[in-house]
Amino acid sequence: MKNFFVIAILVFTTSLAFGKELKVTVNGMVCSFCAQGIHKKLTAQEAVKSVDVNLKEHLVKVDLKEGKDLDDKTITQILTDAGYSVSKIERL
Amino acid sequence: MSKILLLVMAAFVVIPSNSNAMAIAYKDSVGIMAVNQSFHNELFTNYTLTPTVGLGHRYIRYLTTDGQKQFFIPEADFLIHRWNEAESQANIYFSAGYGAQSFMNTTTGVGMVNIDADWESRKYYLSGGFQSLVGSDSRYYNSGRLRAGLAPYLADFNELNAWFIVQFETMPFVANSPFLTPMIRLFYKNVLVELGADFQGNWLFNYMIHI
Repeated sequence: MKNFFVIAILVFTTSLAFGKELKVTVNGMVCSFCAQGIHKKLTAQEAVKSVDVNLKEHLVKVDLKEGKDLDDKTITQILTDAGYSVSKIERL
Repeated sequence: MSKILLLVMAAFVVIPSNSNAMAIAYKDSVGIMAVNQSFHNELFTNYTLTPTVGLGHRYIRYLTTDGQKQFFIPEADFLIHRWNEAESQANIYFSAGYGAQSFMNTTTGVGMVNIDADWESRKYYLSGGFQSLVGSDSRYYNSGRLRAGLAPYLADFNELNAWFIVQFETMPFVANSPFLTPMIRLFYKNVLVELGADFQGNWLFNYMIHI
Protein backbone atom coordinates (compact mmCIF):
# COMPACT_ATOMS: atom_id res chain seq x y z
CA MET A 1 0.00 0.00 0.00
CA LYS A 2 2.86 2.33 0.95
CA ASN A 3 4.55 1.65 -2.38
CA PHE A 4 1.34 2.40 -4.23
CA PHE A 5 1.21 5.87 -2.69
CA VAL A 6 4.86 6.52 -3.46
CA ILE A 7 4.36 5.51 -7.09
CA ALA A 8 1.15 7.52 -7.36
CA ILE A 9 2.90 10.63 -6.00
CA LEU A 10 5.83 10.13 -8.37
CA VAL A 11 3.53 9.73 -11.37
CA PHE A 12 1.52 12.77 -10.33
CA THR A 13 4.52 15.04 -9.78
CA THR A 14 6.21 13.81 -12.95
CA SER A 15 3.12 14.64 -14.97
CA LEU A 16 3.11 18.11 -13.36
CA ALA A 17 6.73 18.69 -14.22
CA PHE A 18 6.63 17.47 -17.82
CA GLY A 19 3.15 18.41 -19.03
CA LYS A 20 3.08 18.86 -22.81
CA GLU A 21 0.30 21.39 -22.89
CA LEU A 22 -0.83 24.05 -20.45
CA LYS A 23 -4.29 25.58 -20.36
CA VAL A 24 -4.28 28.93 -18.61
CA THR A 25 -7.60 30.62 -17.82
CA VAL A 26 -7.09 34.37 -17.88
CA ASN A 27 -9.31 37.18 -16.56
CA GLY A 28 -9.51 40.51 -18.36
CA MET A 29 -8.53 39.14 -21.73
CA VAL A 30 -11.18 40.78 -23.93
CA CYS A 31 -9.14 42.64 -26.53
CA SER A 32 -6.78 41.00 -28.98
CA PHE A 33 -4.76 44.17 -29.52
CA CYS A 34 -4.10 44.46 -25.78
CA ALA A 35 -3.40 40.73 -25.40
CA GLN A 36 -0.54 40.71 -27.91
CA GLY A 37 1.91 40.96 -25.01
CA ILE A 38 0.78 37.56 -23.72
CA HIS A 39 1.61 35.87 -26.99
CA LYS A 40 4.90 37.74 -27.40
CA LYS A 41 6.22 37.07 -23.89
CA LEU A 42 5.17 33.43 -23.72
CA THR A 43 6.54 32.67 -27.19
CA ALA A 44 9.88 34.13 -26.09
CA GLN A 45 10.22 31.46 -23.39
CA GLU A 46 12.73 28.75 -24.24
CA ALA A 47 10.38 25.97 -23.08
CA VAL A 48 7.51 27.11 -25.28
CA LYS A 49 6.79 25.57 -28.67
CA SER A 50 3.61 27.47 -29.51
CA VAL A 51 0.96 29.68 -27.94
CA ASP A 52 -2.73 29.87 -28.80
CA VAL A 53 -4.82 32.71 -27.38
CA ASN A 54 -8.60 32.16 -27.34
CA LEU A 55 -10.56 35.24 -26.28
CA LYS A 56 -13.93 33.48 -26.41
CA GLU A 57 -12.88 30.80 -23.92
CA HIS A 58 -10.59 33.17 -21.93
CA LEU A 59 -7.88 30.62 -22.50
CA VAL A 60 -4.20 30.67 -23.34
CA LYS A 61 -2.98 27.28 -24.52
CA VAL A 62 0.77 26.79 -24.25
CA ASP A 63 2.36 23.90 -26.08
CA LEU A 64 5.69 22.98 -24.44
CA LYS A 65 8.78 21.56 -26.10
CA GLU A 66 9.67 17.94 -25.39
CA GLY A 67 11.20 17.58 -21.92
CA LYS A 68 10.75 21.28 -21.10
CA ASP A 69 8.57 22.85 -18.47
CA LEU A 70 7.26 26.20 -17.39
CA ASP A 71 6.31 26.44 -13.72
CA ASP A 72 3.12 28.07 -12.48
CA LYS A 73 5.02 30.96 -10.88
CA THR A 74 6.66 31.93 -14.17
CA ILE A 75 3.41 31.66 -16.11
CA THR A 76 1.57 33.79 -13.55
CA GLN A 77 4.38 36.39 -13.62
CA ILE A 78 4.30 36.63 -17.42
CA LEU A 79 0.53 37.06 -17.45
CA THR A 80 0.68 39.64 -14.63
CA ASP A 81 3.40 41.58 -16.46
CA ALA A 82 1.14 41.57 -19.50
CA GLY A 83 -1.61 43.14 -17.37
CA TYR A 84 -3.89 40.17 -16.75
CA SER A 85 -4.97 37.89 -13.89
CA VAL A 86 -4.59 34.13 -13.94
CA SER A 87 -7.57 32.27 -12.56
CA LYS A 88 -6.52 28.69 -13.33
CA ILE A 89 -3.59 26.69 -14.73
CA GLU A 90 -4.20 23.14 -16.01
CA ARG A 91 -1.57 20.71 -17.24
CA LEU A 92 -2.65 18.16 -19.84
CA MET B 1 13.64 77.49 -32.86
CA SER B 2 10.89 76.53 -35.31
CA LYS B 3 13.41 74.49 -37.32
CA ILE B 4 14.34 72.54 -34.20
CA LEU B 5 10.67 71.91 -33.52
CA LEU B 6 10.18 70.70 -37.07
CA LEU B 7 13.15 68.35 -36.76
CA VAL B 8 11.81 66.88 -33.53
CA MET B 9 8.39 66.43 -35.14
CA ALA B 10 9.93 64.82 -38.19
CA ALA B 11 11.91 62.40 -36.02
CA PHE B 12 8.72 61.30 -34.29
CA VAL B 13 6.86 60.86 -37.55
CA VAL B 14 9.57 58.49 -38.77
CA ILE B 15 9.19 56.16 -35.77
CA PRO B 16 5.82 54.68 -36.77
CA SER B 17 7.06 53.86 -40.25
CA ASN B 18 9.84 51.75 -38.75
CA SER B 19 7.81 49.87 -36.66
CA ASN B 20 1.56 51.31 -30.10
CA ALA B 21 -1.74 53.68 -26.31
CA MET B 22 -3.08 52.94 -23.58
CA ALA B 23 -0.69 54.82 -21.35
CA ILE B 24 0.47 51.45 -20.04
CA ALA B 25 0.76 48.28 -22.08
CA TYR B 26 2.69 45.15 -21.19
CA LYS B 27 6.06 45.23 -19.39
CA ASP B 28 9.02 46.22 -21.59
CA SER B 29 6.82 47.26 -24.50
CA VAL B 30 7.11 50.41 -26.56
CA GLY B 31 3.92 52.18 -27.49
CA ILE B 32 3.39 54.69 -30.29
CA MET B 33 0.06 56.48 -30.60
CA ALA B 34 -0.94 59.26 -32.93
CA VAL B 35 -4.09 61.36 -32.96
CA ASN B 36 -4.67 63.36 -36.11
CA GLN B 37 -7.50 65.82 -36.60
CA SER B 38 -7.56 68.99 -38.62
CA PHE B 39 -7.36 71.08 -35.42
CA HIS B 40 -5.35 68.66 -33.25
CA ASN B 41 -2.34 66.39 -33.62
CA GLU B 42 -0.84 64.32 -30.88
CA LEU B 43 2.05 61.90 -30.96
CA PHE B 44 2.63 59.87 -27.84
CA THR B 45 5.50 57.44 -27.38
CA ASN B 46 6.13 55.51 -24.23
CA TYR B 47 7.94 52.65 -22.61
CA THR B 48 6.18 50.43 -20.10
CA LEU B 49 8.63 49.84 -17.24
CA THR B 50 6.36 47.73 -15.06
CA PRO B 51 2.73 46.61 -15.45
CA THR B 52 1.68 49.86 -13.71
CA VAL B 53 4.36 52.44 -14.59
CA GLY B 54 5.53 53.90 -17.88
CA LEU B 55 7.66 56.75 -19.15
CA GLY B 56 6.76 58.67 -22.25
CA HIS B 57 6.83 61.79 -24.37
CA ARG B 58 3.87 63.64 -25.82
CA TYR B 59 3.88 66.09 -28.70
CA ILE B 60 0.62 68.06 -29.06
CA ARG B 61 -0.42 70.58 -31.67
CA TYR B 62 -3.66 72.54 -31.30
CA LEU B 63 -5.09 74.99 -33.75
CA THR B 64 -6.59 77.25 -31.10
CA THR B 65 -8.69 80.36 -31.53
CA ASP B 66 -5.41 82.31 -30.98
CA GLY B 67 -3.39 80.32 -33.51
CA GLN B 68 -1.23 77.22 -33.54
CA LYS B 69 0.25 76.03 -30.23
CA GLN B 70 2.67 73.17 -29.75
CA PHE B 71 3.55 71.26 -26.61
CA PHE B 72 6.50 68.94 -25.97
CA ILE B 73 6.04 67.07 -22.73
CA PRO B 74 8.02 64.24 -21.14
CA GLU B 75 5.69 62.40 -18.81
CA ALA B 76 5.24 59.60 -16.29
CA ASP B 77 2.29 57.29 -16.75
CA PHE B 78 0.56 55.22 -14.10
CA LEU B 79 -2.05 52.52 -14.14
CA ILE B 80 -3.93 53.46 -10.96
CA HIS B 81 -6.19 50.45 -10.94
CA ARG B 82 -7.24 47.61 -13.20
CA TRP B 83 -10.24 45.34 -12.82
CA ASN B 84 -9.71 42.05 -14.64
CA GLU B 85 -12.97 40.14 -14.89
CA ALA B 86 -13.80 37.04 -16.93
CA GLU B 87 -15.82 39.00 -19.50
CA SER B 88 -14.46 42.53 -19.14
CA GLN B 89 -11.60 44.77 -18.16
CA ALA B 90 -11.66 48.29 -16.67
CA ASN B 91 -8.78 50.68 -16.06
CA ILE B 92 -7.95 54.04 -14.52
CA TYR B 93 -4.81 55.78 -15.77
CA PHE B 94 -3.04 58.92 -14.60
CA SER B 95 -0.25 60.77 -16.37
CA ALA B 96 1.69 63.86 -15.39
CA GLY B 97 4.53 65.72 -17.03
CA TYR B 98 6.32 69.00 -17.49
CA GLY B 99 7.79 70.33 -20.71
CA ALA B 100 7.72 73.20 -23.18
CA GLN B 101 5.01 75.02 -25.12
CA SER B 102 5.67 76.94 -28.28
CA PHE B 103 3.51 79.80 -29.53
CA MET B 104 4.43 82.65 -31.85
CA ASN B 105 8.17 81.85 -31.69
CA THR B 106 8.13 81.95 -27.89
CA THR B 107 8.84 78.90 -25.77
CA THR B 108 7.72 78.66 -22.17
CA GLY B 109 7.13 75.91 -19.63
CA VAL B 110 3.98 73.86 -19.41
CA GLY B 111 2.65 71.23 -17.02
CA MET B 112 0.24 68.47 -17.94
CA VAL B 113 -2.08 66.06 -16.16
CA ASN B 114 -4.18 63.38 -17.84
CA ILE B 115 -6.82 61.15 -16.28
CA ASP B 116 -8.33 58.38 -18.35
CA ALA B 117 -10.74 55.57 -17.55
CA ASP B 118 -12.11 52.80 -19.71
CA TRP B 119 -14.25 49.69 -19.56
CA GLU B 120 -14.59 47.14 -22.27
CA SER B 121 -15.99 43.73 -22.98
CA ARG B 122 -15.62 41.91 -26.26
CA LYS B 123 -18.75 43.68 -27.54
CA TYR B 124 -18.97 47.06 -25.77
CA TYR B 125 -16.50 49.79 -25.01
CA LEU B 126 -16.72 52.97 -22.91
CA SER B 127 -13.97 55.43 -22.13
CA GLY B 128 -13.50 58.93 -20.84
CA GLY B 129 -10.57 61.23 -20.34
CA PHE B 130 -9.60 64.68 -19.14
CA GLN B 131 -6.43 66.55 -19.98
CA SER B 132 -5.21 69.81 -18.51
CA LEU B 133 -2.25 71.77 -19.82
CA VAL B 134 -1.19 74.67 -17.64
CA GLY B 135 1.43 77.05 -18.97
CA SER B 136 3.93 79.07 -16.98
CA ASP B 137 2.18 82.06 -18.58
CA SER B 138 -0.91 81.06 -16.52
CA ARG B 139 -2.86 80.05 -19.63
CA TYR B 140 -4.55 76.69 -19.40
CA TYR B 141 -6.00 74.30 -21.92
CA ASN B 142 -8.57 71.82 -20.58
CA SER B 143 -10.05 69.18 -22.82
CA GLY B 144 -12.37 66.24 -22.26
CA ARG B 145 -13.34 63.18 -24.21
CA LEU B 146 -16.02 60.50 -23.96
CA ARG B 147 -16.31 57.45 -26.16
CA ALA B 148 -18.80 54.62 -26.62
CA GLY B 149 -18.19 51.69 -28.93
CA LEU B 150 -19.84 48.55 -30.25
CA ALA B 151 -18.22 45.60 -31.99
CA PRO B 152 -20.37 44.46 -34.94
CA TYR B 153 -18.96 40.94 -34.64
CA LEU B 154 -16.84 39.05 -32.10
CA ALA B 155 -13.39 38.53 -33.56
CA ASP B 156 -10.81 36.31 -31.97
CA PHE B 157 -7.12 36.81 -31.32
CA ASN B 158 -5.69 36.57 -34.82
CA GLU B 159 -8.64 38.05 -36.68
CA LEU B 160 -9.36 41.54 -37.87
CA ASN B 161 -11.30 43.32 -35.13
CA ALA B 162 -13.73 46.13 -35.96
CA TRP B 163 -15.50 48.63 -33.70
CA PHE B 164 -18.03 51.38 -34.36
CA ILE B 165 -17.24 54.23 -32.00
CA VAL B 166 -18.77 57.63 -31.30
CA GLN B 167 -16.49 60.22 -29.72
CA PHE B 168 -17.67 63.36 -27.91
CA GLU B 169 -14.87 65.84 -27.41
CA THR B 170 -14.74 69.26 -25.87
CA MET B 171 -11.88 71.71 -26.44
CA PRO B 172 -13.09 75.22 -25.56
CA PHE B 173 -9.80 76.76 -26.66
CA VAL B 174 -10.32 75.35 -30.17
CA ALA B 175 -14.08 75.77 -30.60
CA ASN B 176 -17.04 76.74 -28.43
CA SER B 177 -19.07 73.74 -29.58
CA PRO B 178 -18.01 70.16 -28.78
CA PHE B 179 -17.02 67.76 -31.52
CA LEU B 180 -19.07 64.62 -32.13
CA THR B 181 -17.14 62.18 -34.30
CA PRO B 182 -18.33 58.76 -35.47
CA MET B 183 -15.45 56.52 -36.42
CA ILE B 184 -14.46 52.98 -37.21
CA ARG B 185 -11.66 51.31 -35.29
CA LEU B 186 -9.83 48.40 -36.87
CA PHE B 187 -7.06 46.37 -35.33
CA TYR B 188 -5.07 43.37 -36.28
CA LYS B 189 -2.30 41.96 -34.10
CA ASN B 190 -0.30 44.94 -32.77
CA VAL B 191 -1.59 47.61 -35.14
CA LEU B 192 -4.71 49.67 -34.52
CA VAL B 193 -6.19 52.41 -36.70
CA GLU B 194 -9.21 54.69 -36.31
CA LEU B 195 -10.86 56.56 -39.16
CA GLY B 196 -13.65 59.04 -38.75
CA ALA B 197 -15.17 62.39 -39.62
CA ASP B 198 -17.69 64.66 -37.94
CA PHE B 199 -20.66 66.39 -39.58
CA GLN B 200 -18.67 69.60 -40.00
CA GLY B 201 -16.17 67.81 -42.20
CA ASN B 202 -13.40 67.50 -39.60
CA TRP B 203 -11.59 64.25 -40.33
CA LEU B 204 -9.84 61.97 -37.87
CA PHE B 205 -7.07 59.45 -38.34
CA ASN B 206 -5.55 57.79 -35.27
CA TYR B 207 -3.20 54.88 -34.99
CA MET B 208 -1.49 52.88 -32.29
CA ILE B 209 1.30 50.31 -32.37
CA HIS B 210 2.72 48.19 -29.55
CA ILE B 211 6.15 46.74 -30.13
